[in-house]
Amino acid sequence: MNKKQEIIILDSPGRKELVINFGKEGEEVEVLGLIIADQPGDYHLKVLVDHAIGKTFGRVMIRGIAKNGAKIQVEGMIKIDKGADGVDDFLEMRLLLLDGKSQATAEPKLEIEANDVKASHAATVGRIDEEELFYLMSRGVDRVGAEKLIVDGFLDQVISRIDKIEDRRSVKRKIF
Amino acid sequence: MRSSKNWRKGVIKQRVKVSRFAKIVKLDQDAVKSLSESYQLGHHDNITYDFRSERGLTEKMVSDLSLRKGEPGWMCELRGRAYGLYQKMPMPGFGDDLSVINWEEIYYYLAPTKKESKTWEEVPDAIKRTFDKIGVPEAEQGMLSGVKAQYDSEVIYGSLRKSLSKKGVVFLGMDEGLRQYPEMVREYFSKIVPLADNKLAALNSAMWSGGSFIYVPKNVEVGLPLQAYFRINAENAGQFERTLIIADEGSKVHYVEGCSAPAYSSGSLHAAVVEIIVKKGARVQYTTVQNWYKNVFNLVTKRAWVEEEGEMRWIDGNLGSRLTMKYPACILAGRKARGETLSIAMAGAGQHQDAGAKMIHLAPETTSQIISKSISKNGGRATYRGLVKINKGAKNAKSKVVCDALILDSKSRSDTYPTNIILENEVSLEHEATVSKVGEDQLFYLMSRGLPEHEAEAMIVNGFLEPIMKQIPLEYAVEMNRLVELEMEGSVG
Repeated sequence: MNKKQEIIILDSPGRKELVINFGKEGEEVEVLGLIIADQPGDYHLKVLVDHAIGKTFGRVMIRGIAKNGAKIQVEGMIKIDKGADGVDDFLEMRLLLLDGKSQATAEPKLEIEANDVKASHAATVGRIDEEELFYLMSRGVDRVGAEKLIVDGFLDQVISRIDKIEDRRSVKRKIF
Repeated sequence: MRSSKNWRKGVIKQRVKVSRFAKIVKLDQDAVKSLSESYQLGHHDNITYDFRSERGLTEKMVSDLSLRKGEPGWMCELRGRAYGLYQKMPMPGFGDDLSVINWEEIYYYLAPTKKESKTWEEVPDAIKRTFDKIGVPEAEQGMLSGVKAQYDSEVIYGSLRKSLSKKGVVFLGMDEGLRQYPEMVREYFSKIVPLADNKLAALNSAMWSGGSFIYVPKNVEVGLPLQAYFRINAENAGQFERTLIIADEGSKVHYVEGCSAPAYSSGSLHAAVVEIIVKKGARVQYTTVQNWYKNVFNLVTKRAWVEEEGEMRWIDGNLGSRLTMKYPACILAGRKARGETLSIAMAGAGQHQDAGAKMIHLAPETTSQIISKSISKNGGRATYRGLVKINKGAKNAKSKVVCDALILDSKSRSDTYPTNIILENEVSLEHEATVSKVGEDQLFYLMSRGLPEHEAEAMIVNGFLEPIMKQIPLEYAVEMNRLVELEMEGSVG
């Protein structure tokens, strides 16, 4: 399998950028992004997946949480150049706002110049589902603990996709 | 999937199209090119103007225009201020390259009483054929092709006016509206789209002429859609139309702008502004079917201010023009206000449709929905550009954006630039977009049932557009469907 994984983590205010290019047909790249914005400040993550060559495969999954007055901005761009037929790409960004002081800007973009492709993206911004919280609390977990469980599960959706187990461990250590 | 009835009538083909399953693809741009070359600004010998306009724009022209129309002082002063802002402001930094527009060469004002009247012979064949195929009545054909100055609808319009005025509904041209209801106009004009909002809005505010003025009193429901070309003595679809719609509390109205037949215009720049106020509990729908000729730059600012429990719905069909930049917007200012934009864009050879929507949530429990369906073919470029902004305090706001795009061949392009700014956490925002081509399987299935390839493709494209089409009043939906089919065939000029 030609799959390459790129892991990008933004856990302090600042700006990080990731550009993915493809060298030859058949290449697969999966980008896993995590944003842990728990201090006041601007967190800016920019990901560009540029398919200049056809029959390449991409997946971008970004999840982020914001609290304590943090401001997240996520820009995700999938670019498919002319002639790059047979590309399959999907960009997903999901952001959780954990309190009333935090903010998020989600910009999933597409620039498609080839037509025999599959390209889509999805973005959601919201807060913790009250029903999920209620469920856990009704099982005896206190509110803070319940929120933590939900946030961990939310981020784990991305972390569990990391192939190399050492990477997974080091990410978990870094975040939790 | 909605099936198109037209194929049974045997639609005339202009050229032979080779199956996509074959290796060689034939390009035929000649038909389109020859039309665009023969229709240049300024090539009219038999036109008489009683007001000679010059090319380019000066401050004197702005004040002369106001004087000529006999406007109140405040409007003249507003125009002057707008002109000053227009001079200072930069071009929009997004969209397409506007430097190709020859600002100094444009006629900014054409005489109202005698629009350029061409003879029927001068109207290109392709346009005449389209009228027939779409089924435009002959009286309309004259007006749409610029041969006649006005739509002879006195009989229809007369009785329409009577029934409307009994309910207290006001439906006039914008110039008339200013004359008869100056205070109401003054209260709202340029309040939804301020003079300095963007350069093109400033230009419109300085040189506006024509458009509609509509007022619907409290709790009045206007049963049938109000249409622009029913207005008598109104200036024809002008370059800088200004429309103002005020829907008082609890009222309901549906306004339809434009028509699906290719609209001719010697003016190559159209910068309209539409302002709508939806008061508490009112419901307004604004349907546009834009099919400007392919040399037109269509740069429009449309915005609605929606108060508590009001509902605003924009239905935006973009089929023509060389470049359209238009983002119908709703400012959801009152609790439980709702905004919707349903947008269809079709970009063919030499076209760029840069369309989308803006939804700004200022109050709690507001909801918005944006559905955008775009199609690009023959090297066209379809762009979705949208904004959803949920401000602090807009608790429990919900927004959903769906933008789907079809790219029909390898020369065409599709872009999606959505921006979602969320400043409040107790909200939910969903956004999804897909870009794809017509499924080979679907095509093969239909062809194996005996449908020729291009008709199968047209059927699939119409099915793709169906979720929006079914929101449009039936007559326009039928016309739009036919237009889409014609566009698919490439026989529309």
